[in-house]
Amino acid sequence: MKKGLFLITIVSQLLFLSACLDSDDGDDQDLLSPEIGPFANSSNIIPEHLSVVAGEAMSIPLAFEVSDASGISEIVIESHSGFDGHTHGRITNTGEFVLFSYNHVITREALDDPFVFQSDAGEDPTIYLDGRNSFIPDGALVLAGPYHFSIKATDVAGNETSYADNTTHHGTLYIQRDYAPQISPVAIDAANRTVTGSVSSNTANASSSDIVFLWIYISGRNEENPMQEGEISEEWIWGSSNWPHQFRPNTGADLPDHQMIDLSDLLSNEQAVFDMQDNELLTVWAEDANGNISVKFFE
Amino acid sequence: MFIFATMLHTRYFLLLCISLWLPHGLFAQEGQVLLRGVLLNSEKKPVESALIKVFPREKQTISDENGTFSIAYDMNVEMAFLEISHLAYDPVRLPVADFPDLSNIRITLTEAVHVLKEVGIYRRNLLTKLLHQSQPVLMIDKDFIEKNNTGTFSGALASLPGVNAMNLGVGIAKPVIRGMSFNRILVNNRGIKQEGQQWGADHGLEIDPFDVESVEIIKGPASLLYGSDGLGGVINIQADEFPEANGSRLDWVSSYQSNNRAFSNSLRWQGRKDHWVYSARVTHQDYGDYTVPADEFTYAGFNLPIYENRLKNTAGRELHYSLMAGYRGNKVSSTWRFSAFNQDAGIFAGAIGLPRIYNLRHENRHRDIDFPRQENQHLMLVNNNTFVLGNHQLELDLGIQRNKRQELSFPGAHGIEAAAVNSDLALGLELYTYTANARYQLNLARDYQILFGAQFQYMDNQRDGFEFLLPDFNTTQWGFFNYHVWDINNKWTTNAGIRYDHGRHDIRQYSQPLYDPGTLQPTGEFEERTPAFDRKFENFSGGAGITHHLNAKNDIKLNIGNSFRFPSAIELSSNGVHHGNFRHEIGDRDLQIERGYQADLTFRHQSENTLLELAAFYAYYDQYIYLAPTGRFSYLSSGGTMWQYQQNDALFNGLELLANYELPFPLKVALVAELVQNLNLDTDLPLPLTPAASVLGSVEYSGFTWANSLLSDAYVFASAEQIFEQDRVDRNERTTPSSFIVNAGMGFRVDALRQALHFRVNINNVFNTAYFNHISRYRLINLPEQGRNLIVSLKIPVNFKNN
Repeated sequence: MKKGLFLITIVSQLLFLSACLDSDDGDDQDLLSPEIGPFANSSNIIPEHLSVVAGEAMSIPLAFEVSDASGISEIVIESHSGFDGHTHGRITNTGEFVLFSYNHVITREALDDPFVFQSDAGEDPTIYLDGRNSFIPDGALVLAGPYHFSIKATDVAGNETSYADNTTHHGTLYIQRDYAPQISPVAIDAANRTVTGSVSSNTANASSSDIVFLWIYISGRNEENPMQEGEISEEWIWGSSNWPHQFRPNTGADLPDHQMIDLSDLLSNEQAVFDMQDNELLTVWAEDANGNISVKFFE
Repeated sequence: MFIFATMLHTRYFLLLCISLWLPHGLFAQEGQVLLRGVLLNSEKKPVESALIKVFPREKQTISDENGTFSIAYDMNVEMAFLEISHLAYDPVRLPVADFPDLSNIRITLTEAVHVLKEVGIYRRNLLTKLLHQSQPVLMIDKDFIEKNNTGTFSGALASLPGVNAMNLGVGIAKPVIRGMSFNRILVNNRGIKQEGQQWGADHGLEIDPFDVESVEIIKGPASLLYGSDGLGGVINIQADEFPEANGSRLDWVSSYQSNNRAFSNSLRWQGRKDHWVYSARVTHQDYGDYTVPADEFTYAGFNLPIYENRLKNTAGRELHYSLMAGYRGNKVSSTWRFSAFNQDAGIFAGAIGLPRIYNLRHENRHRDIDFPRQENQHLMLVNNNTFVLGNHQLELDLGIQRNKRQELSFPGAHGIEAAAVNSDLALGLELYTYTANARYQLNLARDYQILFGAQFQYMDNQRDGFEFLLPDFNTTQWGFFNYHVWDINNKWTTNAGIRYDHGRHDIRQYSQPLYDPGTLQPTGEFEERTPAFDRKFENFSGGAGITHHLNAKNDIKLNIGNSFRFPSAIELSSNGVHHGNFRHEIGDRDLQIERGYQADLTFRHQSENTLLELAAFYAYYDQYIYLAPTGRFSYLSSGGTMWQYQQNDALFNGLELLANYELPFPLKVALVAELVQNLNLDTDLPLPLTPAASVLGSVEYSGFTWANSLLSDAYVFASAEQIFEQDRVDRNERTTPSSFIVNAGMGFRVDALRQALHFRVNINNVFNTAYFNHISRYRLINLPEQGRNLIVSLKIPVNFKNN
């Protein structure tokens, strides 16, 4: 009896020590991050992933909404170059050109409604591609190319949107410029085994420069997630890139020309081009000596 | 601050403290008798090569092929006992006074029950001998580490109750005890506290997994005897064991892991010439990208491919070596040991920055270590000294360490043009640590011991690289303690201790150059990230307790203790992007001392075939330091959000079960269960990175008597672990689903050319189950843990006998 009581005492003490630690109001706490969604009647957040900013456009359209039940703390709209995968570096720096960059924080104090922010209300977050953008010096030219773009938000409780669960809005913008390499439409005639298309330097623009690098690749498309970049199944490289890319060779065969490149000369003998499937894309990536990158996709 | 600890002693401790008066004996020389006897096993066969020691003078000998031994004994010594140890038998300690005839001692040894060997072996070390009285202490030996080796020392510990591994892939791991890690776990490597950059979740413990003989894991607060940082537990890596007879031996361990095609080889040379001992070891590990049971993972809304199921850039290379020499006399023992740990390990290409399809291609170069990667080096010089001064003993440990950590990646990923810094070193940290520990044990009477201790540590940290997180700093810490143990009678023991500590951080100012986001070039301007300042800390702590021993088979241990930790330099002064956590981390220079108060109750039953240990703990932490989100975004490139160190009160509690039973077949069954939970009393939410509860069951069969003519010590085992869902998570931390993992293995010994070759085969994750580890760094990007892994290892010892 004495032994039994002793053991019961010990076991009860053990269970007491390891009893569940329940918070008083933990279940009622807001653990959800702010929600970033389309603005008003839009179907998508603008800019979308893989959006193109045309050569003459001097601003990037912006339309989104952020909401949070506890109250928004901060919203940040940010963009930086994605020229080289994610290394974001470059081998050479060129005088009048700068990388496009944007980092705009909207604080709680700037919000009219602490629970909902709409991109056309309150503080104006228009994204400019010239000196009106504080990150771009007056008179400087933005380098054309792919840029990573994101909208993130936190709430007053400390919850934050994240890439991991896709609550941060993110994507790649392709900024085109008239002084960057010009890629004409590419047409592939598998029956006659011909490829038409070209990459040229826009010599009419005083800020253009020689083409120094050409990267052409075939990638698949994910039917379930069409916005997702596809896997590269075949690639060809000519010239030498300004941008050290960790995940791709930076040099290839000599370019046939630095002003006008006829893609027929480069691709007509490549069987993979003619074997392209409906769910594949041909991507042409061209760089000039100033570091501008032009990218176009062809089905 | 005083604590009160109730402690229960063990029969071993009683035996240690029983004084002896020699009734008679054979005189070897004046004042000495010669003890003579024979060692037998349960089948009455002689036991050869057992080590027999007489304490406290530590005279020693080994038994011959007939199991007989003789050893001189000083009759003037009041307290004396024999300790007999042998790899295949349970160690015993017997008072000399218990032998009726010192010229005809007959001792029967019990064959070791392997599952019991893993715990509860009592050591000579002064500190742990004291702690054993009241706190749960796990003891593992080299056999356990080799059996559970997955490439890291921390990984080998993870199958113990209450112990987990926080990992970054397969080559980098750090221990977690009862949900605590980082600077709350103290790793005491051969008497010296190992100091690296243990504050980072993606920083591993720099220990060669092959260069560890035996380890004690003290669960719970131990800072009264070990000082600051012994808050959550202590991992005590013991001094090397040496052969008692003259001669030398070589050990070669070679293993292969199929999952990451890892080759590990470790060669050790060890020997003794009279009182002089020496050893040398070199270990090489080379592993490729590891495989996971998934061909894609989901991140940022993308389904990203894992080509060939291999995680790109998770390969690594390691080269470790150590040299040791020393003198082990009866009254003086002094050893010098130098060790070097060198590791280059890749970090999954998608773990820094946003993973995209194009940076996950690996062109079949599975052993390349590309960017980003870590290069870690830890050099350590340790001098251990023991002086026997009559009945008293002085221990002196001295150490010098250099820890060099380098994180390499492309500068452009941090908003800096490559040519502007001309280096790929993103973050470099070089830490020098100088340590001196002294302990003096006074044995004033057979039932009363006093321990005086002093500790000193000086650290000098230098930063490097184009990134900034932690500034240069110096840290000085020193402390004194005094501890008393009094055996009232066979049932009760009391103890009391007091401690004073002083700490000082001198933080140096640092300004980081600014870079233009448009050109990635330096603007010529600087931003002060950390101002110069210093902080001083003082802390008094103490304790008192009482221990009750139930009977020979059952112990109840109750310990109520406190612990403390000085805020670390990183917690006070950091201000930069920690890419390991995807966030901008900021220190708080006003942080105060963190203190913990813990109650620990353990019931332990140990009989011939059964071991049952059930432990529960409950802890309250005052001013617990943690990183909390500020809700603001960083202005730094790729900085994410800003998190700042804060401190608030917190609760921890948990339950651990260890049960082993050996059936007569012979079949051993074991059950290990653990639960830890915590609560931040300010946020009313759990603390982050808390391991999930788990239950591990295993069976091991070793009844291959029919094969004994060919194979010895053959065994097969299978284990299954249920890891429960971790849904008690902090803000911004995701839950982790449950998982069920099965492992299996076998091993045997072959005697060839008079040497014993040990062969092991393990299969981890037999069913190639895709699962997440809640405390893995790769959990942040939804990467599953390692898939099926076949581990084959061979150990070849070669003994050379010298006369």
